[in-house]
Amino acid sequence: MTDAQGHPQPLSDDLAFFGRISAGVTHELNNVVSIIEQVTGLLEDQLYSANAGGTLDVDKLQSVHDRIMTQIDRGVELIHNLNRFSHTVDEAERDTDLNELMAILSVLGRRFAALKNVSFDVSLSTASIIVRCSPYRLLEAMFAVELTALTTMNPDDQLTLAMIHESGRAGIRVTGGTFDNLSDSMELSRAQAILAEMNGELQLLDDDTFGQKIEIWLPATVITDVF
Amino acid sequence: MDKPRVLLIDDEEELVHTLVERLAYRNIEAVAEMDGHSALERITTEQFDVVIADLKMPGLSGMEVVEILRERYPHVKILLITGHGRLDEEIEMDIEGVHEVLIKPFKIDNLVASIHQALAN
Repeated sequence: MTDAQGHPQPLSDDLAFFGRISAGVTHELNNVVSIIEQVTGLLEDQLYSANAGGTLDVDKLQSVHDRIMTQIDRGVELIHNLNRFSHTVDEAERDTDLNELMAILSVLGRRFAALKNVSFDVSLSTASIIVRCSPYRLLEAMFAVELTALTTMNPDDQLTLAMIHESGRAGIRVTGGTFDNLSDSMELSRAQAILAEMNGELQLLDDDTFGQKIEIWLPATVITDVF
Repeated sequence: MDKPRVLLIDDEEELVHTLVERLAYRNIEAVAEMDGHSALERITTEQFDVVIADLKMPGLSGMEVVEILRERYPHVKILLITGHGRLDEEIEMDIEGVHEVLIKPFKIDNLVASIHQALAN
């Protein structure tokens, strides 16, 4: 399937999103495996050198161990969140804690920020924020907002996503970029369309504290003092 | 023959530093940079026989580094490394001047062989 210019087209926008996320995460997992391969290889080099009459440095062995464990932890975190992401397609609609989706976004979305040298700060809420929605579609909208915001940002900027809530509704505030030229963004329009399906909305706003911000709002049940 | 000097460029810091250590065991002097701009700055003050760059990095991509190297340092041999399972057609078509593309994860022996083959060309 190709467009008028002959460029390959994905099967659907929803599948394209799944593909984009899984491609990004597996790319990062590939890096994790590559590092483990080389660090264990380094251990082999050190053992070979010791067997050939050199010395075996305990500090270096400890360093190899620590480096492998760091990558295992990184890999486990990625796999865990990719699994959670994959299960968001299980039900077309369910009560979803927005914290759960933000936690997935914080891990799976950081690579996109890292590729722009932008630091990525996602803060969860101490309240339990329950939204009736397709968790997959809401994540799709959240990623679209992240990726659109990143297009406005420069290296060393910080993109911040924070949860916000008030009586009967809750959402996400995105700050750190210059968003005033985004009104024609196709990605943002897509996010808006997804949110509208959930009776939610997306706003581009000026803010005294943050300069400019994008806010997502959805009807929600907010349960405070859960921790 | 002097030890070959290799410049490794990859934003995966742990990977490039480990490769530097492993190449030292194989009589290859390697140094690491984590992005294309720092690497290009370094190559203005140091001599390298081979540059090994990751295809996808923040800032300058591996292909952009290749283009600059081909123009300014045509004597330097270039290898690319990538975690992509498939190379896009446009990259394959535009890969002139690159000795080889290694797919991660790769064996150190394959990397060493590629370095020596590039130097022999």
